[in-house]
Amino acid sequence: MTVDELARAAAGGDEAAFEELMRLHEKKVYNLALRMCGSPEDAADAAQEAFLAAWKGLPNFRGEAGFSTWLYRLTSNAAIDRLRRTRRRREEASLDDEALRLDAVDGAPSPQARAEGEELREAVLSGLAQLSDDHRQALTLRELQELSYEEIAAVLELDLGTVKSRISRARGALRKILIKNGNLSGYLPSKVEEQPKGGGRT
Amino acid sequence: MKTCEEYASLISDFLDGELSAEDRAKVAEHLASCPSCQRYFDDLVAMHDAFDQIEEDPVPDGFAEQVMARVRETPRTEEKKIIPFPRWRRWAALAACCAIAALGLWSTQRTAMPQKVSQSALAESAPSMARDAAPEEIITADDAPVSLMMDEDGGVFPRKAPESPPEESSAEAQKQSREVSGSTSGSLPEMEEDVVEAEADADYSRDGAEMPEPAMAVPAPAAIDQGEPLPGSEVADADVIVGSGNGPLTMEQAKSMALAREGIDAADAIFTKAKLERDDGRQIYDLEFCANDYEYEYEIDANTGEVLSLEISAGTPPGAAGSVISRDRAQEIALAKVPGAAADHIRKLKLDRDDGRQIYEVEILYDGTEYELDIDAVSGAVLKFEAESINKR
Repeated sequence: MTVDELARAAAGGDEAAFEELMRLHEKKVYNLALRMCGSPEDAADAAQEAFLAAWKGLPNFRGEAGFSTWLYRLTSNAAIDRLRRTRRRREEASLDDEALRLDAVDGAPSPQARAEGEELREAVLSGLAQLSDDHRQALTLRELQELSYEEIAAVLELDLGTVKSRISRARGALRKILIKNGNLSGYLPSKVEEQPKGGGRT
Repeated sequence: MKTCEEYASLISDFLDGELSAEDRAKVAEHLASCPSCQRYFDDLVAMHDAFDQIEEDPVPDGFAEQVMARVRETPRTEEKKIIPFPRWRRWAALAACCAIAALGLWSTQRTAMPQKVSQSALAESAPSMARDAAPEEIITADDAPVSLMMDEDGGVFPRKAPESPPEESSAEAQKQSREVSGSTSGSLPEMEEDVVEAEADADYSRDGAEMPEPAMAVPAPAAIDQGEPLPGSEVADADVIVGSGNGPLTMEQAKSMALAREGIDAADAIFTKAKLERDDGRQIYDLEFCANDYEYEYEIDANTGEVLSLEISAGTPPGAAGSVISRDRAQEIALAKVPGAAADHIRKLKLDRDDGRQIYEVEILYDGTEYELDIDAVSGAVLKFEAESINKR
């Protein structure tokens, strides 16, 4: 059965069909949530919520966007909801700013992982966790889920232009973090980087 | 002529292959002649390659099973609401009536024994029960409404609406006994005497009574007689049967119970969380709902109905459905914050829920700047306003 056929069956109450749909998507859904939330526990919760929301919402789902796109959207929303709630709880518990950052952030790569490629990989993930929610969301969908711009626009319900600018700015922000941590070379001619005197615009 | 900053966005698109052939050529040409942009591009490529090599994590064990377990217990309704009242109450009332009738029969059995024990029991229950074995003939002068509540131990006790302690209910029953038995006829002499004696005692002591605490079948006859939904009965009535150890609760029952304990009508509550969780081998319903300016958090044991924890806090009032401002109004508010922007600069206008609060999320792209606004959907207040130049790197 195709994804759409499974979705139709599941919408009608077919639990086995839904389980099939879930198994097809669980890895992607979980990993998207993982990169958004930072911790495996939060990610598992968010992923579960996303599938539950899909189960409940399927009867109303008209399928304009395609089931996978819709599921990504639910996942993304669930992840952000989870993030907000976790942050709110932490704020209420008055933890300091450091603790408000995502759990997965661990600055230095382990000594074993000094191999060149490995170092950048870990740095990139670590840097991703430090981006703003919007930037992380856009970049994750693009670089890790490998969705096209159109697909991302559909998932996030944004128009193409906003998606492009978000991805571009996310990359710029990530690059800055990596340069600051020494993972990318520090060579930056004046025009590209912000002037310390204030404003890099010419 | 574009500056390098303007190229940044194009270089990103270039990397993803999202440019037209013409634009691709332009960017390639610029890269060839601009070392800083070339460096920028090289860095983006390096990051992209690093992402490429990252492998997906495996899904945690048992994930699929957990999801399916929750799927199976989720009723396929569109709204996450409690079952509508009338059906609920009628069933609950019927169940409650049966319970009371059964109890009535039980206490009636005991009246055959001429002991103080049964007399006290009589004092608690409607007088007619003392006369006849058949509960159907019970009449009462008092039609005070009665409802049944489940307390924290799962015990059942009657609760009059408005709330009054059980003692008062017994007092009413006592009065009933007096009134009705005065007009008794055709009853066994010793029974009558017993009843009168019991009334003379007129105390609430249950020393001799073997009836379980707290008092059970007080003005219940009213309910049996009418066979209608018990006025003032809360949704918890159905829990009377369930919580008495007949089996685990469903999510809906857990929700009803929490609402009933707070005296909140289902229609006034908005559930922001309703989840079955496992903790220390125990299954627990984790519920959060808002009502009347308060936020409630309940944890209820899914098997015994025991309330494990309860937290009430004064919270932000939820945006009740129907009192949300229109999209047009939200658009108006947003545009007012960005002078010069018009409707076609709006990139996104979405009604969302955030922590139990309904919010319009608006994005405006105008004059080289991207604006993000969060507008409270009930009050129209702008909760968040962010502006970022899209030309900045």
